[in-house]
Amino acid sequence: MNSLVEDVLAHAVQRPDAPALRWHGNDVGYPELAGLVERATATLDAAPGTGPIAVAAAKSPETIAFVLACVQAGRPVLLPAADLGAEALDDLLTRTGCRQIATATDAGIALRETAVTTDPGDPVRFLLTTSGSTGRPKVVPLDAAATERFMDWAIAEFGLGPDSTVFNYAPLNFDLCLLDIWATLRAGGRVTLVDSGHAVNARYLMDLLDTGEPHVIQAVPMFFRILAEAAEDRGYPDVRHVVLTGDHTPRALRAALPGIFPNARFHNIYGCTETNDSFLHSFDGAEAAARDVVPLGNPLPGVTALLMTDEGELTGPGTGELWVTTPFQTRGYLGEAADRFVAGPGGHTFFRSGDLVHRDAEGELTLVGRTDFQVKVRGVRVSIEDIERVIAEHDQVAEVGVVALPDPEAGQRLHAVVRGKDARLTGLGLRRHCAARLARAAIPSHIQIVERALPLTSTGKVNRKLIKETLLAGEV
Amino acid sequence: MSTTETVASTIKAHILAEFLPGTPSEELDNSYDLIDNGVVDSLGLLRLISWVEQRFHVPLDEVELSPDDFRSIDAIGHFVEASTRS
Amino acid sequence: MRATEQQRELRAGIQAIGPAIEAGHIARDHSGTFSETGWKLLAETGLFGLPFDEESGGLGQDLVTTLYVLEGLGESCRDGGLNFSVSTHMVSAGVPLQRFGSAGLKARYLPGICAGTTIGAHAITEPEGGSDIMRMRTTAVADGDDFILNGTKAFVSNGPIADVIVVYARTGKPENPAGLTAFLVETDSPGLTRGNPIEKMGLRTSPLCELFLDDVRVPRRNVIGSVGAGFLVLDHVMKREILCSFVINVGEMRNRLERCVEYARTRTQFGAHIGSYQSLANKIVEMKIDVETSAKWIFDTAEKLAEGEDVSIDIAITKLITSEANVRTALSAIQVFGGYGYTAEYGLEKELRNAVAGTIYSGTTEIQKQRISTLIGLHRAVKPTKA
Repeated sequence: MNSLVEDVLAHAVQRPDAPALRWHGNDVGYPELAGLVERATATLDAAPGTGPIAVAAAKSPETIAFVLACVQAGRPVLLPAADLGAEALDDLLTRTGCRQIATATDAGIALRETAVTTDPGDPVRFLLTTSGSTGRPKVVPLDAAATERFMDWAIAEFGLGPDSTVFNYAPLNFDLCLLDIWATLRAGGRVTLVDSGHAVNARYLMDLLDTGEPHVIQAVPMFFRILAEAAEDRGYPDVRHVVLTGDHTPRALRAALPGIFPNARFHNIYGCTETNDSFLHSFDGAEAAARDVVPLGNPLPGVTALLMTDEGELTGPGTGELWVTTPFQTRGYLGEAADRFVAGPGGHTFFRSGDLVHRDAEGELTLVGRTDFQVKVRGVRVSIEDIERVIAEHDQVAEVGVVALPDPEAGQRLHAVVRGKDARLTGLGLRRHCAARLARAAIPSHIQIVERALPLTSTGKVNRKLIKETLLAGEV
Repeated sequence: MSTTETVASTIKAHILAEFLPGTPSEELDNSYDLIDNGVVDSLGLLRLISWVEQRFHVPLDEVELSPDDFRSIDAIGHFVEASTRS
Repeated sequence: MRATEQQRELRAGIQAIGPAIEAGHIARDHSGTFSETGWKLLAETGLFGLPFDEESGGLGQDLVTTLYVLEGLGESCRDGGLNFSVSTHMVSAGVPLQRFGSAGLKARYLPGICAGTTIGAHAITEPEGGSDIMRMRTTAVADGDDFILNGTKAFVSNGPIADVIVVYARTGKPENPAGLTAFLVETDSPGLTRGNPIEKMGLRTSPLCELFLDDVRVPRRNVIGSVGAGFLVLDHVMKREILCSFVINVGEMRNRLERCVEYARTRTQFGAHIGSYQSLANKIVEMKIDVETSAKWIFDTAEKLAEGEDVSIDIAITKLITSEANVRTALSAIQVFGGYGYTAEYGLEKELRNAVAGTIYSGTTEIQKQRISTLIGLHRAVKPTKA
């Protein structure tokens, strides 16, 4: 199944005057894009290889064409985040078995061999990544069928076609591009590309909205906040669909949107890289600021969601972890434990989202928090479970409990209580272990080595609550 | 004990008391990177520099100042020696 | 502090031209116009070079003298925005160059800064992240003999008129105290663009804008201090920025107090001059207390700083006390003058608007309190010991 590239190339033949991409003030037509794909294919042919290719070049028409050429050649595409460190990138290349990597050079996109000798996973279309507080991204393979199904939905939902222009804010490695870029190109529309280097420059963004004239905009709340602060009385009446995603959009920000997009319908999308979009809540300008929290809305066609508690599935009102299965989802992380992908009713594989969702008496769902103990340290969201896992990976660690304690400066600070397997374990050694693997905010400010066993809950897990109470009482 | 050793042990005692309470002295190596390993944060660095200035009478206004000089006990020791030598 | 003969002379030189500099300040505040004439007059006095080395064109005075003279500027010139621009100019570019700049960098830029022909600014805060400098997004990446800077900076005071801007950018990992570097960037560098001047509530005659850095190439020799020393440069600058900008406020408070005393003595109501009414007299007495407390904190802290003592807590307290006193005395002055105080014509409502700015820049009152609580160790309430 390869209709993405076939469709793009067909547009070049059938509608030679149609623009495909808007980039740095110029339109790139479909024939021109097809030409770039041809050149990219020649680059691929010149350095024969198999398996996945890492495309580590910044967003541009050349990069997009290169991705299309890889898809056409049946080569899975790994899209690493731009700010990934060299070490983390090497690790990612090894785990995905990428023996070739494409990077931008002055002479265009160049392909070179990597040092990787590991074998690739299943043939898929895209290898996306999710970030975590460990700084070691998890790989999410998406196969062709799943991405085609997603594009079908997006094209139908937002009426994408030859006359549509879609605003692409997200960097190329984000799952959001499946809608903004890939579905739009398949439908023969035009994508207005935001240069990621200018993503927080309000003037640049407004100029692009003026000249790129999009009908559909999908972006994270940050984009809309930048725009709302700078737009004054500017409005964009041509925009028909505004898609909010990635995070909760605060009410005050939502209130500003109808003024900026007077003729748009608004959509709040809930989803994650593992499952792609799962819920959609659409509303008019008049309702934009009607409520504090936007509900999740309705499941997309083919999506099933469950609320799970320790007692099993919750069918009535209440709060539970959202388990979701979608026609667009991955079959599981590459090379990681599959514990977040579980068998559920109807023979479907459900993804445990880690999100806590509340269902009210009317059956409406709203997001209320996380199950995996995420806390904010100096404004950075970190996962206590991730930190515990990293500490537990140390050879000499027997058990670990990490708790967040209130702190006047950092908001919260992390305290780790660790029991070693033997006397060789030191707090400083463990700190070095953490510093090499965790974002700085996730390194516990105190690492305390103890000799006695940690308190456990009735289910045999480390009792963080008790550890926290003891620490706050100053008794540890 | 040479002067260098005395300086290093004074610095070590201070680091342990201020930044790593509860850590046994023998665990802390003189080359341990205090900055990259998150022992000393930004405010901690200022406190540490100020302490070095007071404790060893380093004329801070007259010397080159870089965080690299405060990365480890050894680095601080070298910094103190270099900047108090007259 | 007791001023020496020389210090008094320097201050008198500024105060003599104060009235000429401030002329038209209410109209300029209304239109948000920076006074180029005022700037030139001040430049001629040599004020801008006061604390800098004589070989760089400065007057080689110490910190306390500089503060004493700047207080005179505030006392004699009611163009609060211009006064703020003066302090920003001297502190943001001159101070880091003087302390951390290489000989070449000093020779190239300090003379112009002393003469006022090269106007300085610095760019720290960013639209995302507010005052959390350790997590700034602006980056500088080494490329041969240059660094390439990318990012957006918000609230650059003097930005629209600056010739050089000290840009703080990340050269290492976020939150790492060795991860920041200070760069001296010329504003005509390719890739550097400035937003339109930002409209604001107070200090309207001091121009402010956003700064956009798009692959701006800065030669390595323009690094102030060493690579990674940006946080230390910034700490050095921030301490002096607070002292210099708030000592000007103390001067402005003195001017305000004097006007209130004079008004209370001359204006009569119900057959008696209003100063004889106890409630009003108390208000003016409280203003006097505010002014003197602020002055004591500033000069005491400056002396400690000059002695090389740790003034982290003192600076936070000084900033908090002075900025709040400035707002309080500005509000009191409006009340003393009654209906007149409320009109734009008297310039007192403007002083209140200007004073509010001081509670926000260089760290809000809340942040100062947090900082003090951390510095006195309140965050270490739980002291774990090895079990």
